[in-house]
Amino acid sequence: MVAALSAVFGLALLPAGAYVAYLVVWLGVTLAAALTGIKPLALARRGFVALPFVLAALPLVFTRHDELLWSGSVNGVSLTISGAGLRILLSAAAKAWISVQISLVLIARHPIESVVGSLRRMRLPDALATGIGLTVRYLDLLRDEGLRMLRARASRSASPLGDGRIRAGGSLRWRARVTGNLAGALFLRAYARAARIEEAAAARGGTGSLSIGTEVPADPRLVAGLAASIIMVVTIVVVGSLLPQW
Amino acid sequence: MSDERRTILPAPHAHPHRHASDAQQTSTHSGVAHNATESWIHVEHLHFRYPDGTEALRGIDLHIARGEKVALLGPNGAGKSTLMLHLNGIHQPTHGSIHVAGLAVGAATLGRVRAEVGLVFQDPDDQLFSPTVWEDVAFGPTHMGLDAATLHERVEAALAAVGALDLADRSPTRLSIGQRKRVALATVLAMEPSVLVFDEPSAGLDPRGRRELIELLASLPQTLIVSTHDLDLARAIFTRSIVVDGGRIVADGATNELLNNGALLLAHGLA
Repeated sequence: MVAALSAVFGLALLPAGAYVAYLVVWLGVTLAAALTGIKPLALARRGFVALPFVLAALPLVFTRHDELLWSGSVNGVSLTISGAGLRILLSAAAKAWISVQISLVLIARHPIESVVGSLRRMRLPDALATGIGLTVRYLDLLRDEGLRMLRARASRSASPLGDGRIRAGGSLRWRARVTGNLAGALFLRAYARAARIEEAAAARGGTGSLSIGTEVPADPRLVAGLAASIIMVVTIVVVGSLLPQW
Repeated sequence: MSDERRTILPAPHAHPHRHASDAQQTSTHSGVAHNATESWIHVEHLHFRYPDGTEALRGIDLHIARGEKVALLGPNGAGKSTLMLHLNGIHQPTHGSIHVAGLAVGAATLGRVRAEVGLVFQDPDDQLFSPTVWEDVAFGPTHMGLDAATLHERVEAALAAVGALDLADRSPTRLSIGQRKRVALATVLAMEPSVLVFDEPSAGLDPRGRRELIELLASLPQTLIVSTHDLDLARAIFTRSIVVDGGRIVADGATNELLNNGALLLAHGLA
């Protein structure tokens, strides 16, 4: 756990454009995944789940005005593409992609109870550690709920019969609203499901804290692991900063 | 008429239990005359395997005439729900073919197949995803591109048909299970399909809700395919029943005959 968090932390501290360093970290993650029996290609594919969040950095490409790569007009709107903005976007994408893979290796390698236990030992507030644990544990339920709603939508996504002049599918605005409704309904269902789980746990004496079984006493090797992790962060940042950047 | 709307396929096995009146019945759905002795739903050698390797359907052959009301019986995991999801194009066959209303079910015809086949899921929560009942019922007709006046008429008529007009502005999450089931039916009635497919419609209903459902199903003029464990429901509405087990059709005949066959029911987890 400490090693995984250290790797993510070190990666986040790397400067933008340190692509060689990103590659080195990614090769390390891929090697670790392969050693634990995870197919690297499948891991890389699952890492793309982070990319939609990276889109938040997209405006930087057009709003920064340093290292101008291109400027012109599109449909009467003046536009610029910044090299610095592009570098930040690509760096954020690479860091997010690799960080998700590090987390996936951690979760695949250790049961979620072990991860929650480690978070508690690292003095993370219990509510937060339990929240993370329950989210991972019930992620499949949420996915299935979402898939059932999409199936319901698909089953009624019909075309008109007999009149080829009518265009099916509704307006873009209507489709966006339906998608928003689906997301809202998914949130409400997740909330309702969480409340039911909490009630079921309370009925059996649950306290709202995720049980992880017998607490394992602090391992003396933890100190060694912590020291190794600090060395890992420093190494990643220093070596990464020395490697070529674009 | 579209290219995909082929000649209605002849039923290879004349069904001995079909209503005598069906033999003369004709209809003009979508402006095309069809004879009821022809297959409205035609399933041939249907095989389906889930991505995890589970073989859910192992060679289904099925012919259902227009207007026929058929009960699909069988134990849990028999393949009934999987078969029904194929009729609406949610699942695509691993092998075999499906024709509905003369349309070969496939990527090119999905929109029109879904206009012909209304699928009502077992759990209404799987069906309803909009903030209000009205919006949910309006989803299908809106997607079909209907104009505002027709859309309004369709939604109102569908809600009236299931006795849920007074629920129009309510959130589906705030309704009872019986009310949600009725609204789920309205969501497909508003699309005016020629075939209605129900998965366990009576599950979770109290006696009054079940009685009202039976009356409602009996009054529907559409071709009806209902998957159920409720043998009394099957006896009350359906003249024909099909028993599915292990992904295969193991019996197909008059409901009364099948339901009086204790050995058959016992062998396939229905008694």
